[in-house]
Amino acid sequence: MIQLKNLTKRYDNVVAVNDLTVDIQPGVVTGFLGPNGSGKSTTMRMILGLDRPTSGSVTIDGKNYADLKFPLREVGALIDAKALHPGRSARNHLLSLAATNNIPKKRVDEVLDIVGLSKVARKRAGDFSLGMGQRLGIAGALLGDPQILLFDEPVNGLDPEGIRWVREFFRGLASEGRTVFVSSHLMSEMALTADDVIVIGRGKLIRQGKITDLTESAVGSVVVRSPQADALGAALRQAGFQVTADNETSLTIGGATSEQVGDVAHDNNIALHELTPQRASLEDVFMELTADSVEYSGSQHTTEEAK
Amino acid sequence: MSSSISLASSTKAEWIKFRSLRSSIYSLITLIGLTVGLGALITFAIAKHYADRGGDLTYDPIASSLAGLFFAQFVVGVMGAMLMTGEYATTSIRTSLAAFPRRTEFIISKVVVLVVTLLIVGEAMVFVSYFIGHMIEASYNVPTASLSNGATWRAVSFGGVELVLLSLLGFGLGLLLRRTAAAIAVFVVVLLVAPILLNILPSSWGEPILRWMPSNLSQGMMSLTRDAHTFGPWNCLIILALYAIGLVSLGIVFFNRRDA
Repeated sequence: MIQLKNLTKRYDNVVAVNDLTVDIQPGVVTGFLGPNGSGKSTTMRMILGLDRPTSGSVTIDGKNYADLKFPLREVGALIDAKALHPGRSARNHLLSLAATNNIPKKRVDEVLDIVGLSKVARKRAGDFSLGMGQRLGIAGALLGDPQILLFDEPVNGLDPEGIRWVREFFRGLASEGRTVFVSSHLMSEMALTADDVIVIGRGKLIRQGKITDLTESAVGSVVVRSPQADALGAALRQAGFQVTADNETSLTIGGATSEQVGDVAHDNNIALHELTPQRASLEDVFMELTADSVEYSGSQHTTEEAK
Repeated sequence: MSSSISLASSTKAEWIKFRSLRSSIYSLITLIGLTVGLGALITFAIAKHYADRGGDLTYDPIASSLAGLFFAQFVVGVMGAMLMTGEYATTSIRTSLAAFPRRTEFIISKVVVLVVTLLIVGEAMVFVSYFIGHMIEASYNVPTASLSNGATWRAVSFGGVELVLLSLLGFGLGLLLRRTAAAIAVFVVVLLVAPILLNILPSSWGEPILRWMPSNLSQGMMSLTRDAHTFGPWNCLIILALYAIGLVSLGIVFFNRRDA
């Protein structure tokens, strides 16, 4: 288990991670979500003892990272697929890592096989595509067969086949009882991979819990079609709902259930041709949760158009 | 099986990292080429000039056989610096420290690889250079220095040690500055530019400082004749070694404090 206690990292006058307290449990895939620049990578680096917290602490099964006897056998991490010397072959890169932690050479070939890089093991890592680099990074994380695994944006640069492989692979690792902590800025990706999620924005904890709770807690909307859409819209507005007209016959009512909308229509003797509850997608929930904490956002105009 | 990462394991890992880079091999080839090749060429030119002119010039057989070391010192400086700055430039420092978080020992492992490699290659080079120079000198009938003479033996063998100490200065600069360009620039300024500037100054100002400069100390280590303004060979070695140890130690202090 990874425990963060009041973890804070301040650079000059920027607070990258702000008083973060969470436990990351074994046996599940924990998604670590936040917009770009929200402090995910800084948190990952502090877990690995690379960056020193300004205050607070990180422990791995109760120990500091630097006190782990053979760190690679307890914690495997992919922090940055490019965090290796491009001139070294994949195999030599892994051999040097294995040598530090007294991991047998045989294991190097095993992990190369697991991630599907055996054929290019002797090629310079600098000639690898981003996706192959990610696979090599994952191989490095698996080297010591650790119980705790950290992956920072592992699907970046992977092709669809690779993404699917990673997803199933992470779930497999978690089902073996390992702690799997995966960061991403893509909610949709986490929806398919993670059991638990930790959402941060501007370094602060926004939400923590089961991913299913997150979707259920989201307030949905209802789409109605009616020949008397105008009258229905007026009635709904009067009842205090947020109504947007999609076209002449169709309305979207925010923050309402289909029962509420149906009742209003009935009370006003309005015929309905369609009544569809819309569940907010995880992406919507994520956008809503982090809306106030996006570090680098485009102008409102372009985001509207993108929708 | 040991209970935690040993210095031997991490040194082995650093050795794998060093030998698996083509640039390490090219650096060593350049180093040997400059020391042995240029040393032979310079000895040939000077010995021929001396033979043509007759005995009115002074001839230092060691200075000409080992003349290539002047160029070699920049190669070892760059090698030392890049052993550290390469980790930062590629951000592989993070992967390295995640595998071995005890930072002082991580640096010691790198130092061991650098020192042992350059001591073996360096000593082999200087003795080969000496013998080639000796053969050229003998064929031109110019003065030669014999290894049976203790001073000659010391001057030649200190050649390899000089390279090791200068590579450690480069390494220390790389550790402190973290950028290849910055580390090499400072190295060249200290070794090449500063002595020239000090020579321009009136000698009463320049000379007391000059004898403390790494360039003069490294020359002094191999000198057969004692100049009144320089330290003796052993003192030169000790002072240069203290610089190297001091700089690397300072680097380690910063390295332990900084984020990787």
